[in-house]
Amino acid sequence: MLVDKRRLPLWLLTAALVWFLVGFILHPALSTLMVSLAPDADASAAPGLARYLAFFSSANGLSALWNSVVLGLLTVIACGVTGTALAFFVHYFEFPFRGVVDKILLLPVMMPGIIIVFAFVQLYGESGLVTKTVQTWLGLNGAPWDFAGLPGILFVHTYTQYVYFYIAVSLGIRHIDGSVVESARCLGASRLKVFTSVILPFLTPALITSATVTFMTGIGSFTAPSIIGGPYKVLTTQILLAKANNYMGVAAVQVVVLTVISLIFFAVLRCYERGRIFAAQVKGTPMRPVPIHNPLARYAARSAAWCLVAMVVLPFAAIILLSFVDSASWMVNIYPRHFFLDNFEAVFTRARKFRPFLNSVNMSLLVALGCLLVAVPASFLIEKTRMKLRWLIEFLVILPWAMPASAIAVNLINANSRPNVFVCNAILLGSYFLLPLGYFIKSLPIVVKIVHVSFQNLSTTLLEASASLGASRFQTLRGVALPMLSPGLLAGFLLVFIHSVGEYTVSAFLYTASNKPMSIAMVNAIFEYEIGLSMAYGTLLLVLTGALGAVVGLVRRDALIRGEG
Amino acid sequence: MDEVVLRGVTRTFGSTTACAEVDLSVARGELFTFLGPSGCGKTTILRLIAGFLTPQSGSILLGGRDITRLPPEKREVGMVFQNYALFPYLTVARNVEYGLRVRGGNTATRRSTVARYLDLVGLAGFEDRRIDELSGGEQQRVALARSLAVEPRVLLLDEPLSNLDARLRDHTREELRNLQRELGITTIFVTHDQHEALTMSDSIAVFDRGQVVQTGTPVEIYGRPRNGFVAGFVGDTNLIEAVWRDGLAVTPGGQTVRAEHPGPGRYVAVRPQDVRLSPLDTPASPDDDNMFEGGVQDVQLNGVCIEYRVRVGDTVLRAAALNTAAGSFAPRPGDRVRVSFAARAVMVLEG
Repeated sequence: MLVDKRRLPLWLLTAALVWFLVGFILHPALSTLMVSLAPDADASAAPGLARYLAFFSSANGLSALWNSVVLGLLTVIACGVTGTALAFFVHYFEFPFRGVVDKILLLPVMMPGIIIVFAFVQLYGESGLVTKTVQTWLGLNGAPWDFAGLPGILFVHTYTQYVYFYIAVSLGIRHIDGSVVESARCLGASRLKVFTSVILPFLTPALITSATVTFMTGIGSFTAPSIIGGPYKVLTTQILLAKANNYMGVAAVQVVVLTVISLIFFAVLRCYERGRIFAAQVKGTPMRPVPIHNPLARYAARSAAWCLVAMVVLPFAAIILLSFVDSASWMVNIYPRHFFLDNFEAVFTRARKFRPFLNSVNMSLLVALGCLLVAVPASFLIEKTRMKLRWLIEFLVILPWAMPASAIAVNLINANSRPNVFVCNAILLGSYFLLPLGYFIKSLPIVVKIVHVSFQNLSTTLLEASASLGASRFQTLRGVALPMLSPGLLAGFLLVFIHSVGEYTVSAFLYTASNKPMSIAMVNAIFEYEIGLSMAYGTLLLVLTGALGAVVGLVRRDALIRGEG
Repeated sequence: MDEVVLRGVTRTFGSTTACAEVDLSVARGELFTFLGPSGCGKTTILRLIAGFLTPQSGSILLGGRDITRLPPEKREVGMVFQNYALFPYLTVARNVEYGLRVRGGNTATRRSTVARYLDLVGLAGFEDRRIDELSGGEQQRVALARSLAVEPRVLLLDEPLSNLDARLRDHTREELRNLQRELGITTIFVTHDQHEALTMSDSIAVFDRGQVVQTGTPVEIYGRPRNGFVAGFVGDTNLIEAVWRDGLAVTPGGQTVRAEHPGPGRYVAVRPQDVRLSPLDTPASPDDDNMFEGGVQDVQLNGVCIEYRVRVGDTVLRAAALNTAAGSFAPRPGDRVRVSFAARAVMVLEG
């Protein structure tokens, strides 16, 4: 009886979580599936797969599907080559300021995609600063390249997503046991043989994981295709088009197809990760970076490093520079000549311009808090209990990771366009809350992952030590669990905030007049030729995400120093 | 007066029985050791006493009070964990103070208690250090001070020396023993190291597959092991399977062994230090009740002792001789030697 009483709160917590997660993640996904299977109101097609047949027999549909898959594959190749080469360059060779270059190469992962797209447009677009400079230098009549379409999207994807490969391969290189490499050399292997027979097999899991994640991100990408895609149509942009024209059935089919592709890759990734749960358990000596002795090669390496830094930093510098530009004056010149503070003044003094900034901050705070409220009990149940429904909770919280952002948005629209039993029969479509709900679902897997790691690092013996010293459960929670978990909770909170504050895809589908976020305001400003204003929003986002990213870094470093990480 | 009593305690994990029908009594003020190989159930018993596990059956008494169903925080039991379980975000002093803070009381008293116990474990002046600034031995002492500061009735030590290097382990073992005697606190110590158990304990319980095989003082456990497992686990032993004929043990190779107290028993056992090696032409001494001729297979220097492996028929016997400066008979591999031992050195054991 005693045991049952003690487990009752756990059962209640599990039931509440399952209800919530089914209501806001599974039910919306199933709603979209049902919409995709429902017959057209004005068509004679039988219920069932009619919409799918129509999709797969339509040239437009197939073209968008093909383009999405091609984009995903090319993104993997471009990011794989770039990220892996950069990781080897930074971690395999010894050159000055390696640490600084390493940190700078991580920058793109922290910045909202919408900012990077706009920065690239301002730099490499038809009237971009770099484009015009090269055109002038070469004396060309037109732009030396066409930034629109697949090459442009791929360029943006490479810049924003090489980091997946870079981080994974860097970690892999750092964990290679140097003595294994040395023993291979002692056994007569050449440098090339060591690379192919020792280093590459060790990095294969990291490469496969990165490739899968990059492919999933690539096919679900919306920001770059919608802004610079031009004639290159992909499924995500077609979904928005169908939704805008109120063809929700068509959008549902496209969402299901996109989700299924993503889920297949997600499932393959999970299976692969489970099958590869091995690590070098024996303590080894870390591999030392190889010094470059040839002076010419050393000079080349140093130059390459600074070029890399410049390339990564350039978009950020462009955004900050252009945020001080008088848009009207720049229209007639190649390079901006007049700078002022009016763009920032407009954001902070005009309510209409300030509102998107405030909306984004408010919604992001709300979402970060909500994510923690769900992630903490979910991670606790998954990691620290043996509840039977743990697997369901784990599946539901991780499921949105396999869903493209546009799919999450359409799912929410389909589930909340009529009375929804999970929100007391309310209709959330058109309300303030649907957009933050979309952010919430998109960010939940990230924060669960971080909080879960914190729970894994929360040693049970520490809790037992506290109890053996006479502390009650509440005292143990306050005195041991919270201090141990707090770095992870804070990091999770800040990361969700960063991810939400500049989010564009979900925003494009779900924003209303009451919650127009900064990313939408940026796009609107661009289309209204208020480039300076748009970049001022971008700069604010950069400052916010940069400052919070630095806090995350400090928190994590502190946790690592204390041996919790 | 028994401080800790276990009556018929059983705990299973799924289909695995960690301990079955365990009966134990730990006297007040003694250092009692749970000794056994990994997975024998000794840590499970410790965790049952601490309250982190609840037995399926049986009861646990502390000072005569049934604590079987009490949560850990109400048991008055202090525990030092194998990995010390120090709170990494607190300083040394705050770690030691933790248990006192959750009990309330005024700050001055708490501080003086912390100072007293840090002084006791030799860490005065370490108050403001961070945990990651301490060595393994210092961390172990902080964990000890933290557990002692709340003045528990019983102190539980879960293999606290296993993370220390050999030299530090010897030193800490001695300190721990002296501290326990000084404070007179009832202490239960879990280890798989027979040397630790024999040198530190007032009493030992030897565990095997979830059951207490033998309880007694170190002298009793070492000198009169109840069965082959205890004889093999506690100290080195020549364990020889035997059948009994006419009051003599007959080995599978056909040698006969005379014991002071003959069988029945499945094994005869002789400690290596009781086995004497001598040249073949040496006259027999009155203690040479059992004499064989054997060939030296291997010689190992072990610091204080020299260990020999000698083949006698089908059986390989181990013998140990003191490595003295004066020198003694020192055969080399391949030498033929006389192997002898007294009948009173022969233990007759069950399986």
